[in-house]
Amino acid sequence: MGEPTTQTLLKSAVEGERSSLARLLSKIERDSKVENEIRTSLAGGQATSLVIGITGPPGAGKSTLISALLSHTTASYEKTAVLAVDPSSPFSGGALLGDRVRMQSHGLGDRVFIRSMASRGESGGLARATSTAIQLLEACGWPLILLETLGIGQVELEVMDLATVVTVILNPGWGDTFQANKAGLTEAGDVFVINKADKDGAQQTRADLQDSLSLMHSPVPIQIFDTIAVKQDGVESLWQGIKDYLKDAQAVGLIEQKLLSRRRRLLMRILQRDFDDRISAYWRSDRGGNQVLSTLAGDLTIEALRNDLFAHMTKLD
Amino acid sequence: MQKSPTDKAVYSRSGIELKSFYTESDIPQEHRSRVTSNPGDAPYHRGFHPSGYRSKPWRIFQLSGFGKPEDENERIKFLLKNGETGFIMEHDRNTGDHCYNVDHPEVVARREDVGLTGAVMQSIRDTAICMDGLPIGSSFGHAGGAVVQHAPFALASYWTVAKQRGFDLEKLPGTGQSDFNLTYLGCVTKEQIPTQPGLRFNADIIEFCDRYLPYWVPVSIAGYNAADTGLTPDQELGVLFANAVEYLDEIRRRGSVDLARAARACGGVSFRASIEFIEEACKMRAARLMWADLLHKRYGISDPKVANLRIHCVTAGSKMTYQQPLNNIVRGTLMALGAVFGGVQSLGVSGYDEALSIPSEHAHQMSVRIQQILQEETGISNVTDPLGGSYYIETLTAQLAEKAWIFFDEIQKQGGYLAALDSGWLHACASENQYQEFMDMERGDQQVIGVNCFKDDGSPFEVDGFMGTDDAFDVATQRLKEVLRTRHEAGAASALKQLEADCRSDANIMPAMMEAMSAEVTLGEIGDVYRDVFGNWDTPIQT
Amino acid sequence: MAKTGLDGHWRGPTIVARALRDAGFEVIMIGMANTDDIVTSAVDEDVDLVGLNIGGHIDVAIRSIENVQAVRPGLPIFAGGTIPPHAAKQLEALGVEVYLSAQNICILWMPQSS
Repeated sequence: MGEPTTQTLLKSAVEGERSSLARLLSKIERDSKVENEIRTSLAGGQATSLVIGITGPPGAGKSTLISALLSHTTASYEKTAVLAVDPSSPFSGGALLGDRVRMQSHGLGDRVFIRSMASRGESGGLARATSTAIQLLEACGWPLILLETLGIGQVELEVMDLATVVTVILNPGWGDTFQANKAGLTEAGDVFVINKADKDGAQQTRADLQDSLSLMHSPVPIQIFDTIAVKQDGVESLWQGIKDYLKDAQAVGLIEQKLLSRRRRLLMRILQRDFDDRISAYWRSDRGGNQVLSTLAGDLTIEALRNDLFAHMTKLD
Repeated sequence: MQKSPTDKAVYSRSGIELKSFYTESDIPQEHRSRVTSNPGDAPYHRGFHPSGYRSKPWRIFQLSGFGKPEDENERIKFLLKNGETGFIMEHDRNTGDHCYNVDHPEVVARREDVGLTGAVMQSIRDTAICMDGLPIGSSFGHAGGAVVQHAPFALASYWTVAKQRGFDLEKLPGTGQSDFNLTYLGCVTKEQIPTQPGLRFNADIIEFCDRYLPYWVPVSIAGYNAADTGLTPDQELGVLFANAVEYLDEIRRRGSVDLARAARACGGVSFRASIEFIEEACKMRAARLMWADLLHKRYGISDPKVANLRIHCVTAGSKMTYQQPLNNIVRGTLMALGAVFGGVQSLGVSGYDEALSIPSEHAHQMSVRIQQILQEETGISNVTDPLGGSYYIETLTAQLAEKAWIFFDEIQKQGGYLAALDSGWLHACASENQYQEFMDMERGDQQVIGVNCFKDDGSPFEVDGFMGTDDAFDVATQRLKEVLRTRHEAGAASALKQLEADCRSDANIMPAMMEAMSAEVTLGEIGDVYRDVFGNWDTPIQT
Repeated sequence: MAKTGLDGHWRGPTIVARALRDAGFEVIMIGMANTDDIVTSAVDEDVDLVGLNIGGHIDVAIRSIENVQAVRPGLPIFAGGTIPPHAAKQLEALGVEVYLSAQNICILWMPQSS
């Protein structure tokens, strides 16, 4: 008995078999061909699931907040999937993924699906396969997907492309330590959370944040919530706030706009990935290798190399 | 110590470069005047008292506990009969550390583990069984409660039973540890209160003991738990004092207890005694030096009764090997020797079966015998600070203190000890060291006899582990039902309500905890209050 | 990587997780996990290997091993911890191979086929 084909797994996953979904997620992480196959198979589907991006600096409490949100999200949407992205080691390629430690005591059984993902060298806060993973979860009937970004502190704007609503988690004192990222994070967010709000400086952080947000021109009012996720404090209000945001955004057509941009972005990514793969293949081929050497030796201009690449990349697969 | 060719630099476990021999000129200038001080005089590195072990032998104090409260009681009596001079009442980790009753789903899922590392004590009825016939008035007792959230229950239940038996709390000796290094660094539980309420609990205990139990050591900071998690000896010192200032600053902020008395209360600490026993002896000496220095500089306290640190020491469990376990008797002896050279007041030696299981009766007996042989046969107790004045010992003592202050300052830069726990900074330090230690062994840079050299071809199983009893869960389940059925329900409910109200306010929780014990409120009910009021600590996992 | 018990000694799993990461593994830490958590994680994360830190009584570990095997037949499982010799023998009798590592023993579950 060999390994089932991608299509067999896909059929079974869409019918609700968790282990097939899990196996497919591994396959798309490992193999961009499978990823493309899945993308293509699911391309016609509507983006129907609600994707909530959870981003913010490391240690802000993203996992804990997700864990606290699960009982509320499953009350509204019945089921919730979580994709939690953690950084890969640039040296070994390995990773330690710790989000489940905080998330798994939800007691909601099969209604929650949690999947850890290593970034595998991607910058931007997500993994290469994240967007396809979301597509797949949608196709498998997960109506709500919580997407936790790396949180390594840099601006992680990619989450904006995938999420219907982006929740930014900050802590008191954030303004002092994350000065450089202020603009990026405030730009990314639709809903803001000051977690660990019982710590010193919460008031100041709120004021700082309001300052930064006043420069933004959002068609929908942007709210700031105080939470103490470890105590569940403020989590219910936050969930209500996210739902309110969605309602307001729906009313002004923002959701539709976001869904469209998400699908455009997905399409763009498919092409981009395909393009990247073809460039790599050209680079590794005998022809490409020789052309590159000639260019390095000064026998060929970069312009000529580019033309040769365009002429021959389509023939490679 | 690293094994290296002669031309290569050699370092102590703390990373201090070692010379092949020492002379007088190596002793740092500022330490020279101290070398001539006498034991019992400031800055106390030479020892607690001029007559040392002649007037007061160190306490033989072994960690003990398993099974049902009566099993634990029997083992403690066995140890006392064999010459132990204090006793430790370990509580079951599944229930105790987590403040769960045995019917908690997480405990039920692991029912066979219940009672493995301590007796199950869910109400004062259980504590009373465990304490039955123990010399609590005359012997230094450890009531359990090493984990911070568990300490108020463990202490209050011990004290309540003592009171019911007619003992005067004003005279009761003992401790309960309530250690942050264990709770938030070395032995992180599945769920527990965050560090801030943890600090409050400990300050409450210090206040309560100051008022009602003057002979009780309210909290005992355990460097051991930081060291066996990976911190080097200098870091162990630094972290211990960083922890101490967190307690004392909180007490000073509250202003409710005389600061010198609080400092005295915090001055009963414990360290790990590891296998590099000369450095470890220096560590104990450096600790006394540092404590006196810290109290003087930071709090203006120099009263000898306060500034003189009392040290309990436990030999390094993680250095005990699985292979050729009888070698561990030698290791335990050497580690104990280092502690005694360092002038500690109290000592526990890990069982030779430490890597296999909790100690068997025989292993426990050997741990006591090692100490008795040191005390009675070697003559080591005759002279205080026998290593004092050695060029090497004095130099290393001074260097360790200096290096430890650097680590102390680094912790302050992280925002202080609690912040360094919350952020995972200390965990990262420990984890890095333990990984390096592990790799040193894997590569053979660090030889460990019987493990990566001089291995046996035969079966490693020359000693079997001790598994305790197998009825702890069932009996605890029965007893829980029994106490819930037969206690005065309205009394219990009202005591629990008061405890919750006090947890939510700024009140000291201990009076309500004492009332709750008398009303037979159970451990899990108290834990539920904590979880509701304080939430769960956000464990800083390093990724 | 999971701890089957509620005893908080983390030194072992932390070292092993680190060593695996440095060898290029993606290590999903799930902390103190009961049998159901371990099974759910093994399935949802589609793991290639399960690592258990098992202390003391091994009944809980055996239950976890059997339940994982039930949903993921043939999935290799390794474990380490304070395992008394008689318990190690019990595991050997079940087909587990026992190796001696740095300080504590490390055991590897070898299912029938692999």
